[in-house]
Amino acid sequence: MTFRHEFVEALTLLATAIDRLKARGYSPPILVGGAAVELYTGGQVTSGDFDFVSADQAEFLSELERVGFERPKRAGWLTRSLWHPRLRFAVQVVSGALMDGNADAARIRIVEVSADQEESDLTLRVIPIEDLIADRMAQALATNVIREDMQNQAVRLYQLAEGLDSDYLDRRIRTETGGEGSLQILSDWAKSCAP
Amino acid sequence: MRTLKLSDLAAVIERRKALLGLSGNDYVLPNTGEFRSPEKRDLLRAIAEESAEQGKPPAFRSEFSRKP
Repeated sequence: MTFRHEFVEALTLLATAIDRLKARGYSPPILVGGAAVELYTGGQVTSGDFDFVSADQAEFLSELERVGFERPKRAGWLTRSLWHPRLRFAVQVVSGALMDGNADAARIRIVEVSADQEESDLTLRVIPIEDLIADRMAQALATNVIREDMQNQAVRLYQLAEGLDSDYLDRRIRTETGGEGSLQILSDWAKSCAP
Repeated sequence: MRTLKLSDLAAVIERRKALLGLSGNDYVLPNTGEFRSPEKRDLLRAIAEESAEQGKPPAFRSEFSRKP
């Protein structure tokens, strides 16, 4: 397994909270951001927090507290964030639609997180990798000079994935970058990115 | 929606790494932190401080102190 132990443990706890949330009739939150990059790169980026998009923020935070996440008594700690004192990960929950409603919900990945047979139905919903690549490209191209960190992440996500939908990826890149980026540009970046 | 096991995802990534000749732990660049929102920067700082109070390093390698 490529993933660090505490990351997998955190995923399992998060999936447990989400499982309970679903059992109460709420829609499952979707993992986005740096932790999704960590997941899709096999742990090459170590994220400090898990960002989720959820329509039921308060209920999700409540379930997270039930599995051990806490709100530190620290001035300035965000009301929509919790942290796990043993694993030292935070969770941040944002409301609204995934990628402002531009992502195809049918492409959301469902990841079975537990290696334990008894917990095999624990799952996490994760942003489609095509949307994550488009997001990183948009961040890379958002400034006057191309952001090397986001450019590299877009390329590596692209290179490490199997079964990408090229048409959807190209469309999402064009949308997120306001027409500045395309799959061709990503492909060109990948050719010039050293192993 | 497509379902896959975490172990299968890891296997795909390992296969792709081998094909691409990627090795080591530095071929994916971390977020420089330069363009983080103030809110995210504060959150990561708070995590680092909470961890420090436990005498432990934060569980991440990201940069949170740099500002644009």
